[in-house]
Amino acid sequence: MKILIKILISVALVAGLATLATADNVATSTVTITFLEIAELETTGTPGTLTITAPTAGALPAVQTEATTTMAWTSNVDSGKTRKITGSLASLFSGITLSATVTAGSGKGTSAGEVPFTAAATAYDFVTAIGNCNTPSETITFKATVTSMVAPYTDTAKVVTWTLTDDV
Amino acid sequence: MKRIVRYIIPALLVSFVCGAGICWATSSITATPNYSWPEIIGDPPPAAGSNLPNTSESDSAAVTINITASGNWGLKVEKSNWPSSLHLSIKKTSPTPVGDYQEVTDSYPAEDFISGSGDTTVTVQFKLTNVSIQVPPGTYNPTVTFWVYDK
Repeated sequence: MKILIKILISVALVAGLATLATADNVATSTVTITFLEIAELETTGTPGTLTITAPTAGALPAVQTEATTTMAWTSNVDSGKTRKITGSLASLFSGITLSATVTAGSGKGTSAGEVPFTAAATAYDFVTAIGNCNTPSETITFKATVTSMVAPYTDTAKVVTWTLTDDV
Repeated sequence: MKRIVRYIIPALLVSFVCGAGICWATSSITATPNYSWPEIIGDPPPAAGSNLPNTSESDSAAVTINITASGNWGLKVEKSNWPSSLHLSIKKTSPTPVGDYQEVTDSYPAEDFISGSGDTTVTVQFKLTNVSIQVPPGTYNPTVTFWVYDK
């Protein structure tokens, strides 16, 4: 009797374990999905002419501002990384300091506020800490500040180059 | 000791033998082991300021599932290792009729998907929703697991 019980237990154990090891009622599929890195930047509109008008006697001309253009960006980055938007003015105006402000909505990066272009062809940070986000319309405000009286002139348009780049 | 021999050991034997018997009768399953999503998300990139399209669908027969069964069966599905913000839905595309999309979660136990009887080949299609720029770039290898059981 004892031998029979031992045999039955052994058979049952072996059968049970063998079944557990089979596990052919489960199948797994591995799906490969690729998300590309995206860095898209665009401006809309052309800034109007900034006209410096005559000041009152003894004062410098008033500051002029222009805020008709907008900027849009779409960006995604690897975990732990961010991007920034820089601006560069090709050449400076005589007697005038041009500065700019680019807004950044919540979660769209951090605006540096008003940044003057104090050197030509130099990249200045306008928005930093841009993570995974898209924003369709942030305002660009240009500001012209007369720093010294110069002879009247009409300058040709100067180009500001905006760049979305890795924030390192 | 006698009580053990008379009651417990027979009970154990019955449970093991019956358990083994049920398992031997259980339906079996195989599925396409690997599937590459046909769309590279972000190619072409969205316009500046725009988000990625919210949805993306796989091929209509992304995965083929072969079920071997002698009777009625049920199929459960679950996902794992998916980017947390992405939602995955699945539908049966064959045999007809084509099913409706059903969201797959990574909850345990797996959710009921479809049922049938006898040997059956099933094809399924996937749909991603909540695709967005919030998903960091990279190549992801999440899994979808199918479980077949006797009904």
